[in-house]
Amino acid sequence: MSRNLYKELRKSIYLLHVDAGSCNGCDIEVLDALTPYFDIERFGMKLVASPKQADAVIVTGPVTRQFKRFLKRIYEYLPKPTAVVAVGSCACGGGIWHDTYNVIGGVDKVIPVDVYVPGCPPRPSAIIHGVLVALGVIEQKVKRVERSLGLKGFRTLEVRKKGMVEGYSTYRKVVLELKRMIGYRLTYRLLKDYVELMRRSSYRDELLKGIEDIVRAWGEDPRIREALETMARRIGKDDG
Amino acid sequence: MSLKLIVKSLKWKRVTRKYPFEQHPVPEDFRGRVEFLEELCMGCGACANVCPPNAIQVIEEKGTRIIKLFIGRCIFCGRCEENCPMMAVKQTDDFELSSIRREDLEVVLRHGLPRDEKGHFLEYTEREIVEAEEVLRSERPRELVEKLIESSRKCRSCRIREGIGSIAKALRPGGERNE
Repeated sequence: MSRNLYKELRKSIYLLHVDAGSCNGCDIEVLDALTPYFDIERFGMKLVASPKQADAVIVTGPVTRQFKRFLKRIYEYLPKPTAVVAVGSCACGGGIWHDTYNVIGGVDKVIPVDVYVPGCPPRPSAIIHGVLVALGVIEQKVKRVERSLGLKGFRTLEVRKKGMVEGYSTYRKVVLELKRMIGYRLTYRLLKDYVELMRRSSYRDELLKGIEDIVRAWGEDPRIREALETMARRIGKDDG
Repeated sequence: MSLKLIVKSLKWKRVTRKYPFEQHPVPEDFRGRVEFLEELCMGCGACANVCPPNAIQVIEEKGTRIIKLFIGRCIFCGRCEENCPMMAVKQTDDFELSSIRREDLEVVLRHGLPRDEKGHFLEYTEREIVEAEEVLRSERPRELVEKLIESSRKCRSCRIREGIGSIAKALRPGGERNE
């Protein structure tokens, strides 16, 4: 379906933005692409108000049942050739609303879609990328991944093996407590250091001294200090 | 445009990014495309359980368990990354996910299910058994672990039949219960 709409039409592309029941998150990102920061007019693109003037259409939202016939009518009004860009997770596959009663769940169930732009919401640069892919200016980057996995190449978690404190349950307790206090992203970063420290140290004082080192290494973050010291108090007490 | 505005605009540098011709940097902790680390994933389906829009689904087929992610429906919330017990899910910095075909947005992982002695498929993947073995060995006494692992090598219906058989045997006259 990839084609160069610029060459076919020999003119600048005018875009129509259709809101098919979106939460306005994607709409704001579409407007963001018009601001000087991203400036979609560099490519000669412009938002227009009527489907009769438009060369390509950006659809956001999961297509509500009420809006289905209007979307069909808009598509019929569009002069062909045209390109339909589904922006946002809702427009691509229904998103969080995919099985709701009053929602069709995806633009491609109503009109043919040229390019899917996933994201919730997609960044303005992702929208620009999507429109340019639809026009055939640049190539798409994602590829289908399909793998068969067996026992070959499987490795169990290294963190757990390396710094095993006392069995799996202690490890699990440490992970859950840390996640509860500082969130999973920081936890995954700290975990290796902390578990190794727990394995190394046999006394509480040793543990607290080690925590001081970790805090210093991670930039004196008060959240990390608080979380690790609470951890040392709690888990240390239970398991000696 | 008034002259005043032109004079004012001269004070500012250009702010427009040359986006498709240069990279647009993402902030720290950006939540982009979901990626499965193949060497760690054991196919337990915890990610599918917590996925709010059911973008990750578990499909049970004969002999395989398929973990299927449709990025077109993913809302990039990061719950799969948070809940994966093996830390096998990572969110990358990649946000240029536009695709012409719907199939290109799919990630499909096929996990093989092992067979028992009678040739029936087990309900766990090969990797899950290895993982469970390792966890159990670090916690429970050895004999119990051996027993559990032995029973895990039989399929579900065989296990149930065996259990019922042993109960019936015990209840029969002359069995253990009647003594």
